[in-house]
Amino acid sequence: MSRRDRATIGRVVGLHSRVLAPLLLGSLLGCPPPEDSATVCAPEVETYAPEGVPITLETGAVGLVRTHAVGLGGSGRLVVSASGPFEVVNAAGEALTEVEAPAEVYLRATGRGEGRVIFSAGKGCGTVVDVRGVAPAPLVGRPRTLSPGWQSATSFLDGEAVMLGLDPARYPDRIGLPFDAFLVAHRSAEAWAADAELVGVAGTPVEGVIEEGELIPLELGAPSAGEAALAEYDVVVDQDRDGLLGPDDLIQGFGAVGFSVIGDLTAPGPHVVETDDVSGGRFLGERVWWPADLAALGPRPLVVISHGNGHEYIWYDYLGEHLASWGFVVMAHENNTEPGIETASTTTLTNTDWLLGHLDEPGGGALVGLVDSTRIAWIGHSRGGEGVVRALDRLVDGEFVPDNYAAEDIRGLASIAPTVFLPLEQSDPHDRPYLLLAGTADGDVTGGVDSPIVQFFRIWEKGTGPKAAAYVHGASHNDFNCCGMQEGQGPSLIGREEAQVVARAYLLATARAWLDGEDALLDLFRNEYSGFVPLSFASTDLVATGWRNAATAGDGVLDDFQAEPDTDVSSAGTAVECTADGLLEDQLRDRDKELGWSDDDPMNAMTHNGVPGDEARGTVFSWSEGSAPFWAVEVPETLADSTGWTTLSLSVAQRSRHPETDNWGGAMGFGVTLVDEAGVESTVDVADHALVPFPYPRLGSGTGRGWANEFVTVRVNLADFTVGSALDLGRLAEVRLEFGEAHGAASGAVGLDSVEFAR
Amino acid sequence: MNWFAFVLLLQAATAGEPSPVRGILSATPFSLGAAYRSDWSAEHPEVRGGTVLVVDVDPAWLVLRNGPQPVLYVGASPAEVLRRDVEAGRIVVVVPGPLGREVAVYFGAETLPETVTAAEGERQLAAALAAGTVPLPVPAIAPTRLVIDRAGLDGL
Repeated sequence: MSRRDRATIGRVVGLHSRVLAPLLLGSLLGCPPPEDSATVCAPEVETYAPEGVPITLETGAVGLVRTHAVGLGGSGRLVVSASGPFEVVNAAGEALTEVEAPAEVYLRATGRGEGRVIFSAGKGCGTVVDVRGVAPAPLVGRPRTLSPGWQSATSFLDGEAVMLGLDPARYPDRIGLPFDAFLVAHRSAEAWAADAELVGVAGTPVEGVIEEGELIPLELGAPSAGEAALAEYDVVVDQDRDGLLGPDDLIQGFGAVGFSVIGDLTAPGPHVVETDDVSGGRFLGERVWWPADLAALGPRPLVVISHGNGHEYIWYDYLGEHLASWGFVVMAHENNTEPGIETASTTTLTNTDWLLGHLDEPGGGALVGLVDSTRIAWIGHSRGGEGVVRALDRLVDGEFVPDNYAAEDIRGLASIAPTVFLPLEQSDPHDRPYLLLAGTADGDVTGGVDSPIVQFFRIWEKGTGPKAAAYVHGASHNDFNCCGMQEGQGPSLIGREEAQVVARAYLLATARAWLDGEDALLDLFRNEYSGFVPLSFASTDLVATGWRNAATAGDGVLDDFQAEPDTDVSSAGTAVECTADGLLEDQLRDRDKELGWSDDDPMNAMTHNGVPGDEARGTVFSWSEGSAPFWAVEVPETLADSTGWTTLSLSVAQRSRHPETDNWGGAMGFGVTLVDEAGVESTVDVADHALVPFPYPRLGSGTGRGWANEFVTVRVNLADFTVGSALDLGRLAEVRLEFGEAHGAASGAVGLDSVEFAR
Repeated sequence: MNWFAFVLLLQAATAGEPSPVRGILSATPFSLGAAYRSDWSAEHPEVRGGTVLVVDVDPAWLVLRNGPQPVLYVGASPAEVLRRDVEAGRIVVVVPGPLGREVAVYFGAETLPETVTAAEGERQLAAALAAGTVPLPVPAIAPTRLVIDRAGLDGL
């Protein structure tokens, strides 16, 4: 029976005729006993919710989406009132203070909290409907083995099963009600408004029901990205099973993409590639790649590749062809790297300008009018990796003024194992999106502790824009070009072919995200690697991935260790308690410049801060077998309501060559516990979807085995803390990190940084 | 690394070791039609003429790296490299200005040539000489070649 059918019969029967019975939900004071009230004075209210169970309303209602339909029986005028952030609307979405029964009306939450909606018959009595408003939460994710057994998600890999997870603790009003679940191609809110019909990508919907007890995942399908790098979907729980998105239904994807499916970024893209070599003179030699169907695509962004010292611009065919096959115009150029970084930056600047001024040269004019000079990304390798950052700084500072583009046109930077010769005030990524890609086996720009010039994470720390990092175990310096000498140092070298598989994926992900707006591809960095391995990576690959939002993103910083150096005070000024050993806050700099462990150098193997004046700070601590320590930070009042964020984000590294790291000897997990103001606690153990890697066991630079500390970003979805829990994310009091055998590492030593609420 | 430490290191490294710079094989003076500013030192000196040297160097010292690497000096200036043949152990460099009958050619401290000031170049030369670097004889000077501009030097 459709809603229209129900309306035409003149009697409201509610939306779930198979499960509904008219329910009298309550009465006002002064009414006759309940058994009489239904017939004497209290209006008849029909809803699917069992008596005594509040109706869960998600905030963010638009029109009738995320509302709950209520049938009002009987006849006569009813006065409508509500306590709390709730209102009653008609089918047009207009708020009501009175309604003429019989009628169908809709409850909606304008904020979070608990409350009541009262329908009064005007005789001193009425019917009360208990309601609670909650922020929308992801509906889909992955089952996990550790607490809480579920990880919500907004990104999946092509072919991965998308599981629906409706927590009975969140939706007690829906327990036992059958529904149809649809995976649908993503629509904007406007598109949904224009066409609410549910068309599943797999045809028929999946039937389900929320069972009492624990969350039981329900597989919805394994959608594909097809030939695209990214495909976008929404998921709808059609509670009234009418095949339309409407009241009572749940949706992940209303006003934003529900979830994304990431394709195989290592595979060639859909476009045939053409290439040409051109030259504008000395240090203006260029190789250019572009999609053969560029004219059909229209103006496309430009990606520039700047090689390193002793390298050649013709050594990056693997990358130029790959990016062009995915729709970019790509140019690699001669780079004047031997004098230094300033000259390298100059050739990046001038080659970019020359090409944009000579689009008639490659391919006999194939690029004319088809390069979007307002969307440019620079990729640099080694000295070229620092050169591109320096080039941006010169543009921003007005030291170099090109004819054919401007500073704001540089939309992203990527450095592959960059040097850091210049002061960071000169090699400054500023606020541009920035990717650092490097190998732990690099035998040239080693990433080690002996010289700040090779500590590439210093540049990463300097940037204030969104930034991603991929530190690839066993990759060497020249694995990222075709032909440089193989200088890799360390065990389990992955070789050039596999390193370039990795490079293709990460560089394509950032290019598509920063030049084409496919932001979800950055989930390859936002998700810790072990829980989200890109397609076609070798099973033996291991990448320490990092992510940091832009400084302007409005993250809720709990402790980034940049202020308040006392270990018992967070940078937010709140209390910190830690029961681990050797707690210390300091600059993330190895003081003795060698990797052998020494108690006198607790920041051993730290490379994010290389010289006085660098700013990156963090904390370290350790624990021994048999202990179960924690590090806890009090949530400041200003951040107690965490519902404006989606994740708790933190950076963690195992400390290389520390005795307790070596005692543990493997990747480690830990637990994250949130505590609300009522004392309710909820723990997510990350070890089954986010592992902190054991340091790459490279020899040298002192006794022991291990290289630079590898900070990985671990992000835990805040919604996951509410699975099976009454935790109130709107009133958090404490964030606690828990270590020890029960949480994934009987002993260990870690560095910690940037504990914050993030989106 | 400070100067004193560098001298000590250089002395230690070169004690009993043959210099990686084995000799100057040829010297070709040139005169430029259009002067250029060299990128190979901090002051970016204007180059109107000079000498192109072919230097015989231990190949291991000619492999370009990206991290810190010793800078090749001719006298008190970083050598402006035109090209190198690593396997053959040959490097072709530009020396601005006049050249005497002998000149010190040596590897100095690890840095970038473009950051070396004239004063730093003098310190490097003094350190090299103190560490035992022996100036090399400059071979018979060939006739001066007239070159249109900087790009023309690549052909020498």
